[in-house]
Amino acid sequence: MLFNSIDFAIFLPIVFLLYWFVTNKNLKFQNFLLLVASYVFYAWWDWRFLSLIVFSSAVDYFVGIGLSKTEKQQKRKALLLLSVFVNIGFLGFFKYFNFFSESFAEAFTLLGHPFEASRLNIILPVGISFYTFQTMSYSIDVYRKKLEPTRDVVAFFSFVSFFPQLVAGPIERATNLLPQFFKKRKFDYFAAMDGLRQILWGLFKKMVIADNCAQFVNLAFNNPQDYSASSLAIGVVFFAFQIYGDFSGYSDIAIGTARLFGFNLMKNFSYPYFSRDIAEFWRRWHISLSTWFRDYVYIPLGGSRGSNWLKVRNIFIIFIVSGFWHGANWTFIFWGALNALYFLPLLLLKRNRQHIEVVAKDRFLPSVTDFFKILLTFTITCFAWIFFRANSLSSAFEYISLLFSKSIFDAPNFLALNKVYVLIFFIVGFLMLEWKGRDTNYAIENFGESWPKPVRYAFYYSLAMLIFFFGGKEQAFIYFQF
Amino acid sequence: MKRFLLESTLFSVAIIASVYFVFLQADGKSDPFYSRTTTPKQASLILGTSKAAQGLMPEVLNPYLETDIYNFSFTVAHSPFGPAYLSAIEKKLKPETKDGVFIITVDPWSISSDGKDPNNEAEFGESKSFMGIAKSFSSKPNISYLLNSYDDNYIKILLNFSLMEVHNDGWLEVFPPMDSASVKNRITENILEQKVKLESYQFSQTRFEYLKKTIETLKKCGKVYLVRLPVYTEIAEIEDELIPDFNSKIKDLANAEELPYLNLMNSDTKFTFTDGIHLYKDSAKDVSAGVGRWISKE
Repeated sequence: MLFNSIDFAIFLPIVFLLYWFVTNKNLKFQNFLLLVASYVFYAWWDWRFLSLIVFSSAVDYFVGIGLSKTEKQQKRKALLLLSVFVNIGFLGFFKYFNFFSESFAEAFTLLGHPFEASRLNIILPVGISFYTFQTMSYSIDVYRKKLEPTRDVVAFFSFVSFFPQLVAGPIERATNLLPQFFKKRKFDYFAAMDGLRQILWGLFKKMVIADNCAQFVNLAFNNPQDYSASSLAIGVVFFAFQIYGDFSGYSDIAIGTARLFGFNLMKNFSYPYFSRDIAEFWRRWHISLSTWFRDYVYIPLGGSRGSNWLKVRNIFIIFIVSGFWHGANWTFIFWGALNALYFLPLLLLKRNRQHIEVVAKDRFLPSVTDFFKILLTFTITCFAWIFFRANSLSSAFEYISLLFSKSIFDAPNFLALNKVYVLIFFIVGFLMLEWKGRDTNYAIENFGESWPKPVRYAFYYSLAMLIFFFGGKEQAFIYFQF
Repeated sequence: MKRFLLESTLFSVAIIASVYFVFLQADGKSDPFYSRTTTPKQASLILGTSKAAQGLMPEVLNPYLETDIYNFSFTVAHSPFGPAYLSAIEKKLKPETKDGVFIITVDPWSISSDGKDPNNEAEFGESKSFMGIAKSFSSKPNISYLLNSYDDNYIKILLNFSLMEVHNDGWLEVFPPMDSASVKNRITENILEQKVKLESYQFSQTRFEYLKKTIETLKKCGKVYLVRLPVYTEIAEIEDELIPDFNSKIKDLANAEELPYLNLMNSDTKFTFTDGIHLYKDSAKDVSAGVGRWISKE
């Protein structure tokens, strides 16, 4: 079920009313309702893959209990490996089998031993990369004794499948989300209103910004040879806003929806396009995944301690694995490696933490230096996005060669050029709101808080009507495929 | 909670009411199909693809037919002969119709299909479009169509600017630039496009069977006439390449079903086309008058 669908617009109020009016007396009933709702939400897409979630949840539930019963290190390690093996095994089979099979075949062919790659007709279950990481974090934290294992099977299964963030995150830590299933939830008017506001903002990002950008991005990337370099440049910039609007929009809707049920999910994006260097960008982009890799991969590898060689190795591992997490394609690996290259000088010069505070704090505009730093970071990020969006490495290089040509000075040659201008107008307006709200959880969190209520409601109404009037053709969320 | 429910309900009602108001404004300029899904059920229909949608004018035909005929033709992507179009026709047809007039236009594309197996109904693309999913073709506003099948931004409904208009009788009028250079460009583009399509399309026996079923369904409701509309010479050559024995197939069908068949191919020099495929309005008027005279003589 898509957040931007009529189905969800009907589903959400029904679950909300049942949750607060029918099951509100009993926490277990509320958790059970969330579990059923989450499974219905997932089954709407394909009920067959529910079994994977159930199996993955069951394995980690029993691993958790097993870990609580033993202090023997060998046994504990074996239990942890079981969880990792099952979760990574599912992910490896459904997401990476064909990639590895074809890559090995190509490699052997290059070495003079050609053979036919066996390719399976595998459907990638929606959200598998998200819920496997979430459930694995539980087992790792229990193994590290950072978290007490739970015996409440309904609460645990609800935690793994919690519908607001089930299919595209934020990837929640068990230490943050699981305890919330054991606390009595009380309806809070302000939290719920805030949730609705964040949902509205998320829908705007997704339907007005991302879905409209998608039309031109698809044209530019599917047939780059048909377009001038200036159009291709617009295509890349639009992709930067498409992926940001799409994914951060999803996260906003997820966080807002969770708030309606009394849950607090972690922030997943923090105005990444206002970053002054790539290290800041990665602290602000897909925060739940970056911190997951930091805590469970990067730090265990040694992090930024040790020799320069170790630092370089760890950075490349973390970025390449992160790229590969996004999809079974060399383009994602290249994208990850390119970001590692961007990041490395900052790390080696120990300048990777120079921009921790929000940009231009307490000021209306950034300084000239900050402005150019933001522009440079955005430009190199866009360059990397080409590899992320292209269907293959050769397509990415073709796109780049066409982009750096004389026609960069020609007028863009998209057929519906007036739509491009309208979209640029929306993007500028969107950036202005984001800039204004850059030290809040989401851009319109406090926007107009001093206005009289009717004026504030008129603003929300206008936003809703903009979504209705200018919402692009319904497109599935990009991160569903990861 | 009461306050939250009250405010969120009022806000939702305001949005839903505004959306409904906008939907009420949708008309023949909103897109090339919508208004045909909103007009009342009809007793007489013109059927086919976009050639018929633009080329046959009910306003011109009506005096000859002595009845009000409605143009229920769409495009080759939406209304080739198949289960979806037949079901839509049945939904559009006034129940208990006995003395209707039905002009079925035929061409090779409307009984062809692409995909691996041209006879596999499951692969027919129109079933996934509004033609296959619309529950009604006579409700105004057609909410289901607007929510599921409307392809443009909804702002277009309020902007009174369009290069086409579907009239109340279903005829689609288009307003393209008609200078010779523009027309030539469009013809060249269409020839190229149809040559590319030719590589993936082939005759579909299943679609041909559905053409028969459509005829048999409509014969119970009145008189049926088969018409092949003219196209530009080079487009006609491509159509001949697609199904070389098309005319004999249709003649045999017309004989078997005891229907009159009017083939207007090879008369393209008399007519003006907007793009080699679709008749321009002046020529559409002439062709419609010709078809009307032919029917009145039959």
